[in-house]
Parts: sequence; structure tokens; C-alpha cells
Amino acid sequence: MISMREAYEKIGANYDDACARLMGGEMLARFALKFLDDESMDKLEAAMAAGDAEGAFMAAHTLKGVSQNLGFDNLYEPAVVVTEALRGADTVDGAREGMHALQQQYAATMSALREAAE
Amino acid sequence: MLNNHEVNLTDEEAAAEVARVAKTYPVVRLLSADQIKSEPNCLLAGNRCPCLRQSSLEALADSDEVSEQLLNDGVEYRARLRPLKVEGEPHVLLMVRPIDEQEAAEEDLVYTDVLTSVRNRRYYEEKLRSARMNAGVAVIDLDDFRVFNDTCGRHAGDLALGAVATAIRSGIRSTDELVRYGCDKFVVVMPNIPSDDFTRRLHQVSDAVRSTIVPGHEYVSLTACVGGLRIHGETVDEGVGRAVQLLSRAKAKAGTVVTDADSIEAFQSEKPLVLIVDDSEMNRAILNEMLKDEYCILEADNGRTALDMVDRYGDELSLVLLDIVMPGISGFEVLADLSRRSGIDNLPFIMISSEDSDDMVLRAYELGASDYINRPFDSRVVRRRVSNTIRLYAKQRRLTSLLSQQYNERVKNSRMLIDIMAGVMELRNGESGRHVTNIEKLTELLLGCLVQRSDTISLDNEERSTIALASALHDIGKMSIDDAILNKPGRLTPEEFEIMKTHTTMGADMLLELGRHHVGNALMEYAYQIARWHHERWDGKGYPDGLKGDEIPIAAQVVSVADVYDALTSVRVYKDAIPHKEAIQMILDGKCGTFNPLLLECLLEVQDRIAETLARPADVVAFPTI
Repeated sequence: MISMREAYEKIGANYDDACARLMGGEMLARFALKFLDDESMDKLEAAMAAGDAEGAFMAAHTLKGVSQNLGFDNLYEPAVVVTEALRGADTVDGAREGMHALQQQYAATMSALREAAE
Repeated sequence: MLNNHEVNLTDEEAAAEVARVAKTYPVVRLLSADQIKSEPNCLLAGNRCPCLRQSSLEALADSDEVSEQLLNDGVEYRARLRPLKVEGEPHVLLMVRPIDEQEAAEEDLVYTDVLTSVRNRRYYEEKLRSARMNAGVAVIDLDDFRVFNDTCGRHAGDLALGAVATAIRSGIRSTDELVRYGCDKFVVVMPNIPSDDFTRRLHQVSDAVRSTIVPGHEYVSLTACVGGLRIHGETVDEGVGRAVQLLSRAKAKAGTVVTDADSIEAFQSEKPLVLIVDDSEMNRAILNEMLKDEYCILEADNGRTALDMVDRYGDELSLVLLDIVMPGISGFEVLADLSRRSGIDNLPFIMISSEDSDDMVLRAYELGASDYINRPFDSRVVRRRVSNTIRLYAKQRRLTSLLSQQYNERVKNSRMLIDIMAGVMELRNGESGRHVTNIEKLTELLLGCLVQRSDTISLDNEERSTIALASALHDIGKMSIDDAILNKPGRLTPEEFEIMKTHTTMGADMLLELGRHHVGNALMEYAYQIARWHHERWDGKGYPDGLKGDEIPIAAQVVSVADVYDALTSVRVYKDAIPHKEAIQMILDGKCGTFNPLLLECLLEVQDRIAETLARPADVVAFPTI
């Protein structure tokens, strides 16, 4: 069990800023833990696998927005890369490279959040 | 009234005067100069109070009334010493009464608001502000009072304030304090009132204000927002401070009552409805959490649902927060769809997106979004922008409705006056009662067709209505034509016809003279053009000025066609009515002079609609879009 601040710090996210924006630590913790159930990464991976460029763009875009709102800067940055690679694209190929970094950060974020959730 | 000792009274008269003042003064004595000088004790209270003797002597010496304040047994008294003569002997009439009784009346004046007759701000500052008590304290603020004042005038504003004060009084107990706290703000203090009674009475106050009628402005409905809470030993001023905070919450919607006691329950139903549209559940949840205390929240996870909800909730919605990038129908498409339906005017949209390129932001504004909020969401910014936007739009909605009521009322009034004048003219001209109305309708019909056919003539709805209204005065000059000529059954002699023709210039002169205080008024300008030139003809063969073609103002051209048509199809002293088809043919054939070919085309186009148009009752004038 680690605190939410520790979880944020562990993954390189901006805890204080998110706290100020989202009505304090308690509320932030609630939203951050809700991210464990967020489906946008699953949707993104599925769309990538299916070669669905538009679906992948939507999912990446949502992931980008959510991680930005929650102050997951570590996740937001690679999400931007993937989103922009998919914007207006016909295929998903341009986004494959960025996906690795995004998946890495996603895994790190999820594991830190799980620790905080215990 | 007896003023000084120059007045000489008989014994009887003196006794009567003593009896008279005794009605107002508990202590009255009539003392002779000798008594004043010789009586050993104080005149009022024996040895304890030596003051009045000196004052009485002064009054005797100066022949002038002396007024004195004195303290006796802890009670303050006001003494008046009036010199007078009884049977030629100098006397002093001594009148004394406790001071608080007299002063209370004066105090009342100092502490009364002249306009509303309730307590004024000074009373609040001096008597209420620092008082500690158990009481209900409420601040009542009229909605959009400044607008009311500006549009209806100061006098109406004053009347309204008086009426509102009376309304508030009717909702509270007689022992409660009512203060006019600011221009359109009132404070109510209700000592020792139970919570439920307090709430009930505040709603009564709100209802009473809503049903207040301002004399002369019956169509305006006033509303007031109320913020109230109970204090338990705090000062009234602390209570007012907190009530003002509650009031600012109430202000989201006109006529709302918010109290601390029942706020959660009662305010729930009053909360503005906000729709959040975002495909991410997480983002919706965050926004929901930020706004749920102040608003009722609806959520939609895609554009289609959003459109359905806007349709379903319509005016109940106060604001929509709209994400741009969504699967299916995007936020932009939602906006575009709604703007086509013109449903967007009264409903503010705030775009929420992490798309912060200038193009995106500009496009949102172009499509009619009121504001744009970037991710990441900041609760403080989101709340502020949402509340500002809602307030702004709510105010605008109320303003628009107030203005349109006002406008329609004014139009109705000027219409009525013009109708009366036109009626008088018709009586005199011996025309069938409908001539003026017919011309007005025909004018409007022809104008409508004309602006569609012409590339050069642009007259909006309002201008066309004004011209039609002005057409009612086209024959006003006939007022100054001799009856014998005006209503002569047979043909006019050339001399008589020359006189008849002057009704154009006479009418124009009358309008110029009568309307000199309305220079630049569109109705007056059109009325002048029409009166002077409605007998001009396209080929220059008309009168009085022989204008040609487009030298004739278009308003006069249109009315001349309408006038000729109606004259042909009506019965006059010198002729029978000519059937519609024949009349049209006569005009087209130039039997009544030549007209603008474009206008003749219009006449042809609308000819089938004329009968129906003339049969309809007068149109309600449409409020021009702002």
C-alpha cells in the first residue's frame, strides 16, 4: 500500500497540480482509482490489432484527454504522440512505434495505481 | 393657533386653550408673570428642578416661545413655554410631555425610506446592524430591476419599488423588520421565528412579489430572489452577509428562494440543468463531480444522444458542456445541426476539449459555442465559466422577453392612435370604413413582393411595417379640404379639382408641422413622403410635384397603387364598386395613370391573394429580431 502522492511520484506524474485542479486529494484519489476501470487503452489496442485507424484515433484521443485530466503527465505525452500519428491516417502503421512507449507508461501507471488501491 | 403673548385672551379663552393643549401634553399649566416670579418652588417638580423658572422669565422677556429639554426621575421631558396675555396680563403657557413619545414620531421620519415607507438604510446601520438576536434574516433582491428602470422609466421604477415593499410586507409578520437596504435590495429580520415558518414566509414573499402589479405596466412581471438563514445570537449584519452569499446562489434563476435550512431539498428542484456530453465516462464523472453541487446534471456519451436530449429538455436546459472529438457525431456536428435548427440561440454551449489548436477553437466559436474550456479540467475554472455563462444567458432571456413585451405594448398604443385618426379621417371623407386598413394591408403585401423581386430595394420586416403603418395617414391633408368639395356627389369642376389636389401638399405640411418634434423618425418620414407623393405617376404626369420614375420615393409609389386599387373597388359618392379583376386590368392598362412596371408585376403576382388579405383581421405586429 502506497499513498496516492507516492503513486504519482513513482510514475513521474504531477500530483500537486492535479490536486489543485480536482478539488483536493480525496477527490483526486477517487478519480485516479477509477482509471483502473477505464477502457480506452483496451479499445486502442483492439483497434490497433484490427487495423482500425479511426477507432484507434478515438481511443487514443480519449486516453490522452483522461490522462491529461488526471495529471498523468507520463502517460499523456506518449498518448499525444500516438493520437497525432493516427489523426486523419488511413492505416495504424504510423502509430506502432509510439505504442511501445505508451504501453510501457500505461503498465507503470496501472501498477502504481494498484499499489495505491490495496 | 396662538403664537405669542401679543395675543390677548379672555379667561374663558385661556381655559379653552389649556384644555386644548392638554390633549397632547400630560402637564399643562397657565402661569401669570407674578406666579412665575413669586412661586417659591420649581414650577414642574418643586425643589428638585429649578430650571423652568429661568426659561419662563426668558419667554416673558423675549415674547417668544422657549423650548427646553429636562430630565426628571430618569425620564426626559420636552417643555414648551409660550408667552401670551390673559385679560391683558402677561402669562406663560407651560406644556410638558415625555420626550420619547414626541421624538418617536420624529425618529420615525428619519428612519423611514421616502419611496417605500419601510425602514431605511440609516435605521439598519444605527438600530439593527449590531443587534444580536435569534432571528430569521433574509436579503430580497429584485431581478433585473435596472433594466426595468431603464426601459420603463424612473417613475415606473419608483412605483415598482413601492409595490414590491407592500408585497414583501404582506408576506411577513407585522412585528418583523423590513428595511430597504439598497436600491432594489430589501432586508427582512424576523425575530424568534421557527425554521419552517421562516421558509414558508420567504416563499410567500417571493410569490407576493411575483404577483405584484406596477400600475401602468401590467404586462411586466417582477420577480425577486431571496437568500435567507436563521441567526442564533450572531449580529444581524453577520446574518445579512451570509444571506447575501445564499442570494448569489439563488440569482442563477429569477425568482428563486434559497435558505440555509431547506437549501438541499428546496434548491434541488431550482438547480439549473446542465448536460455533459463526452464519450469518456471518466471525463464525464470528473465534470459531474465538479458541478453536481450547484447543478442538476444530465450526461450523454455521444452526439446523437446529446441532440435527442436537447430536443427533449429544450428550454429546461441551462447549459451544455460539449466534447469535440467523439465517435459518430462529433461535437462540431452537434453544434452545426443545432444551429441549422436555430435552437442554439438561447442555449449556451461550452466546448471542452484537449484540442487547443487555434483552428479548432475558432471553428467552435464560429459554430456558435459561447466558450471553450481546455483540458486538463480545473474545477475552479470550470465552475466559474459555467456559472458566468448560465447567468449571462438567463439574464439575456429575461431581457429579451421584457423588451418584447415593452415593444409590443408601444406598438399597440401607437397603432391604436393611428387607427383612431384614420377612423376620424374616413368619417370626414365619407369613405367606406375600411379604406385605410385596406391600403395598409395592400401596401404591406406589395412591399413584401417588391423586396423579393427587386435587387436594389432592401426593406426589412420592420421598415415594411412602418411604411404600411404610415400609409394610414396618406389622405390626412383632406382634413383641410372643404366638405362641399370633398363629398361632392358629381364631378369636380377644374377649380374644385385644383383645390382637391392640394390635399397632398397640405397633408405633407401638416405632418411636417405636427411632426417637427419627431425629426428623423422613420414613421414620420414615410408618412410625409406618402402624403405628398401618393398621387405622383411614373411618367411624371401626377401631382403635386410632377416627379418621375424613381424620383418618387418607393413608399409613395407602393401606396399610390394600393390607393388606386382600393378606390376602384370601393363605393364612393360619385361611383359604384368595380370588381377586382376589372380593377386590376384598369390599373395595368394605365387607366389610372402609369406606375412603376416592377410594381405592376408585383400587383399581378399578388392579385389572387388580395381578397384573402383584405378579409383578414389586422395583423399582430411582429417583434423585430434582435
